[in-house]
Amino acid sequence: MKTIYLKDICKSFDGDVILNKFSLTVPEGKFFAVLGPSGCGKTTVLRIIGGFQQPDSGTVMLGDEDITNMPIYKRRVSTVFQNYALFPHMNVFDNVAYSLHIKDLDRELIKQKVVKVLRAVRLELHMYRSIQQLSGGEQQRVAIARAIITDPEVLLLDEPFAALDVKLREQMLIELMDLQETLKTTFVYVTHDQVEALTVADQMAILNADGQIEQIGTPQQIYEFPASSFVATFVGKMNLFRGILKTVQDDVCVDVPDLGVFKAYIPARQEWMQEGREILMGVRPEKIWIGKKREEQFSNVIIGKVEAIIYHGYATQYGVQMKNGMMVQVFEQNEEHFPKEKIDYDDQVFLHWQKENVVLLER
Amino acid sequence: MDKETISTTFTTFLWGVPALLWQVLFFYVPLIFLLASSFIKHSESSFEITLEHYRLLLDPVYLYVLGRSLLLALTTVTACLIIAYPVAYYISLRLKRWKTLFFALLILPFWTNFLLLVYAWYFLLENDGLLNMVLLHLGFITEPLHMMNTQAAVLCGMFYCYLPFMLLPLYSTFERFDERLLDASSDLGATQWQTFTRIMVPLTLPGIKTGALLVFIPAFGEFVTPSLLGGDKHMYIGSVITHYFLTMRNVSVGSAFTCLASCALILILFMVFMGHSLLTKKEHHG
Repeated sequence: MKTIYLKDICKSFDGDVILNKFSLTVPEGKFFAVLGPSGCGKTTVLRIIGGFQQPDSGTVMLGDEDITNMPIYKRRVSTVFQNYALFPHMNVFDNVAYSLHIKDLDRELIKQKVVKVLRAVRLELHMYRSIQQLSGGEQQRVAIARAIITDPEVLLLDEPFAALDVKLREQMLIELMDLQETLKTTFVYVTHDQVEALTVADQMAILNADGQIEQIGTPQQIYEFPASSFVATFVGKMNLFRGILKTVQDDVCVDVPDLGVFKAYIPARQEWMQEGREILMGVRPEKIWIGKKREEQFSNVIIGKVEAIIYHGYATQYGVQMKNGMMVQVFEQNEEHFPKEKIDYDDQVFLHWQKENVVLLER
Repeated sequence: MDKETISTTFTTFLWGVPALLWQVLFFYVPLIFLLASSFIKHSESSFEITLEHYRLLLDPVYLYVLGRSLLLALTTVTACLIIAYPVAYYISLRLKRWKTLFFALLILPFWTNFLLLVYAWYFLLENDGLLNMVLLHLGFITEPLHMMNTQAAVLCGMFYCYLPFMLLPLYSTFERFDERLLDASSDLGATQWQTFTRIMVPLTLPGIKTGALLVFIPAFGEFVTPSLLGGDKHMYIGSVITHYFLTMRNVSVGSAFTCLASCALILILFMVFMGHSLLTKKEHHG
């Protein structure tokens, strides 16, 4: 396990700039997720760390070693590919043993190591199966086994579970986290799926469509305190109100035209948060309390009309229209078999939220 | 088998009847004629079954001819493979935009008649041909090089004419080849050479085999190219057969030699096949 440093990486393909002065530090021994929309260059970041692509400029460091120009086969970095990239002419054993066969290790030693790794991914019973006989999840496990048997400093994972169904994916994510905890190897996990990233990551970086880092932090930091409107809307759902920052009787407030003045709370004041400035006020749908009666214990309240009801089972999502036409999304847990109050289409409802649950974002 | 499968099988069989008739009429019947005439000696008065024609062929000169044809076919296969493999790889995996165009350009010359292709080489290589002319004008040589009627000229022509038969199967194999496997191999610590021998060659082996067969079989009995570019100094299987059938009008010996050559070809292919399956079996047990 070693820290990866990317410094001022530039990379373009056929004149298209993918990465421009891209810098990132992946801390050692951490499960690090890189989350971004399709085509944002996150796979390119991974391929540059892996050595499959050379940056046009910039440096890649592994620990205190400059590996920018080191050929792939010498790098102590392994990759789990999106399509698994298993060798179809070899069985499970030979696929996993490939890196050891190449080094001409002793056959007994190879067998011991392979069995050990296959046991770790629970495939020891399928050792002599051909790749074609395996299910998608099993193939993915072989790919992971093949990558970790080289005992890499860093394991790169390029959307490894994209082809698996939801249930299997959840299970694999948990197995992967356990594996990382045992191995203590630095994992870099690239994905466009926010749920995957939030689930596995110790730390994550959010890339925008231009390949720039918007925010780095723990999943909680990213979700609860997004640094920009891009992060706020890309990770989870966020209701954004356009308003003007104001102070009313020592309280930070946001004046939203046509809708009223809402109280907000700022844990750490940023430089741009100036009086009178146009800003965005964000409230997550699950942090809003919906009801037909007005509740007094909340700092903020607003009236709207129910326009959409989407039943998810564990929760219900309401689309509530404000008087200025804006739609506000609300999640409510379905806590009881027989709810005390039934909310229907066209009902007039009160939406409430506490000022601590508001995020202020630059506009 | 239930009723339905029987009727399906019968319908399938019916569809095959025209092809079967064709095959029987124009392949198996002539083959039997050929085989028969190689064993039959007849004149106006007599008719007997004999091995005499085969005895004639015991002359070591015919063994030479077989050997020379084998060598020519093998060299052609090797030359085609060495050139076609990287070309097929490059066109199918490295060229992204102009792939189809390049491939079409490569195949285009072979829309021309086979005979014309060989004649083109003739005019290129002869003593007052294009190549000599250019070289003389440029001052590289003072007198024309003697290139026609050499083994090298034959090989040139053979290589050129048979290249597409190697190129096509290799190209289609590479089209189905997953390039990311090469990445995976180097990622696991393999050098480029190791990746080539352990991943690329085994996975393109079907294409190599098909190409080798497609080139080897016709090249073994090839007649046009050796006789046009090689002159009559060196005999090949094709030229011997033509010699007996067309020049000597000796159908019996010609048939006997044809049968012999076919047997040799079958034997060679059989040996290659057996050798290969033995090799793969060994790998599985090892």
